[in-house]
Amino acid sequence: MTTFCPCLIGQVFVDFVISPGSAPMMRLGGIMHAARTFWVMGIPFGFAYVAPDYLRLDAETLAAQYGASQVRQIGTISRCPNVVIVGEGKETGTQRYEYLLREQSQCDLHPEALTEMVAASDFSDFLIFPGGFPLSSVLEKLSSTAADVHADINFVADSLQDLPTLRRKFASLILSTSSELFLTKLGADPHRVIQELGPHSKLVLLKENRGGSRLFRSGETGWLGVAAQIRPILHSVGVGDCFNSVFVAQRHLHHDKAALAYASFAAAEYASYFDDSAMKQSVSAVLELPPEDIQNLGGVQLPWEERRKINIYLAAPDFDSVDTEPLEALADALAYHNFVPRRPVQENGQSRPDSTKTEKLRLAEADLGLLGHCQILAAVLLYDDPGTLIEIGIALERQMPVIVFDPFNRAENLMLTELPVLVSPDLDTVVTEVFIQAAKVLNAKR
Amino acid sequence: MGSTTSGKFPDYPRSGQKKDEPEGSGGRRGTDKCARDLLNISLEEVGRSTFFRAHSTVPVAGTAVSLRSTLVGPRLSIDTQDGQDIGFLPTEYNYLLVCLKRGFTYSGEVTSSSQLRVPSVRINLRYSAP
Repeated sequence: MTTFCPCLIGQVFVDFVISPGSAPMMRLGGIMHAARTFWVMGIPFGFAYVAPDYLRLDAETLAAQYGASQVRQIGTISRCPNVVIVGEGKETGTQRYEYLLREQSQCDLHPEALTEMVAASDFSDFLIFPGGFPLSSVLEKLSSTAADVHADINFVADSLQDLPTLRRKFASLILSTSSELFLTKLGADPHRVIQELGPHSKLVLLKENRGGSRLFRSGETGWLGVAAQIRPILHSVGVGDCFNSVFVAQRHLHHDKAALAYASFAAAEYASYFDDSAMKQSVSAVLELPPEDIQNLGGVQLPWEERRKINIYLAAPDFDSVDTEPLEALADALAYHNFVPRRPVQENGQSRPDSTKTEKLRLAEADLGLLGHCQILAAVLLYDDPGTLIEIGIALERQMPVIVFDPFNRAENLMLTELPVLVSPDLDTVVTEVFIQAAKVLNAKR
Repeated sequence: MGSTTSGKFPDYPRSGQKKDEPEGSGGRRGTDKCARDLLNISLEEVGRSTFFRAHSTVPVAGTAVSLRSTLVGPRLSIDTQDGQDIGFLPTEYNYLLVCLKRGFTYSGEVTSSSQLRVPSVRINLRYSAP
């Protein structure tokens, strides 16, 4: 087995993360997240970066302190500060981020710098994060090496056309179900992921947020999956980069399933800390766990397409006259993760003061009929709405998992606080519980 | 109006830095998730536990319990003082495996239990830092 000697290629950004209830956090991001992870693992690495010149001193200083054996600026960005403002750090729903002035970003690539770097070291692996620089030019340079080339193609929806430039198969192509590439170009269809990416790569890794991750191996049918390790997190910025770095490194030590499991567990720990030393301590402990423990560890495994089987009844006063913002946020978050939120009032109609008794009865029966088609009930306590509370009671009696989103901390009644599986004012916690309960529902059916 | 951040990048890791001290040992309770007491946790698979199968009932409130330091199959197990498992921690607490590796231990007591609908046990756990 060759010595693992990786080289990172990609942009350096400034991450500015704003999370409700927390102080803003700013640090260097982009491929610096992967560098930070190699530092945790004690692995020296090459750092071939693209950035505006004003970031050069900070990027090179930090990369060296993280243990970079070689650092070269292979491209200069102009007319764009490479600043990303992340407005919702946990990816509860659509991750709201603003990549400032991205449309006018221009890259002046320095191919000779990459050539010199490739020539000077015997890198075993290149881990590329495309975006903001001409990918085909970089792949052309790497085509002359014998190294394994990995690419996280999340952020470049039109990168598919450049892949043949490598003139051999990638060692791995990595993407997430959150990416535009997956959601639009690949039709949000894991089978198309295999069809489109399989011919270009020995491995295709599909990361599915809180639903786990799976690997497609060339020449095999089916996926190799591992569960997500769900836990309280602080952020989700750079977590995928940590996952990639651990996976690529651990494959040199363990078989694929163990490497995936280490990557999943380490990424969850990465998401739990902003502080470098605390994160390092925790991720290091993960990597010391025995492979037989970590690869069999329980967790949440909920493939993207399976989530369409989970209908979630949203019990709430979803009426014209009510401010339903928390309900909208929950519905959007569930749809973002490919669940099927069902809103009875929107689907069946809203009773009016002048509705006839027959009409009111029809609406009530239609709502109960819809509840019967759902596997989970998620209630949103906007105020003490009797309809919401009655629906909670019916769902409990039907042995359905009941999750209560209580944004204004209204729940006091003991039936309401004690019988649901969760009552929480935090949307992220509620969405996480939906993943947990949905996985249990599907496991019970198998 | 003023800026809310320090206006510069965070302190970088120092080269040659020694292995970090566990934060919990310094009393920085709350910043390290290993150094947090866990309250009112509802255990899973109580009906299949060794305790339930042996006694056909659930442990009463006040029963002393602890987190086993090794996995039972793929799960983290809660044991009575004489080593009988009473249920599993939900998988969202799997991070405690890392904490165990770092030398933390967890013990506490059953806070409530019931067989009314299905066998259920709730516990509190308090951490001990290494």
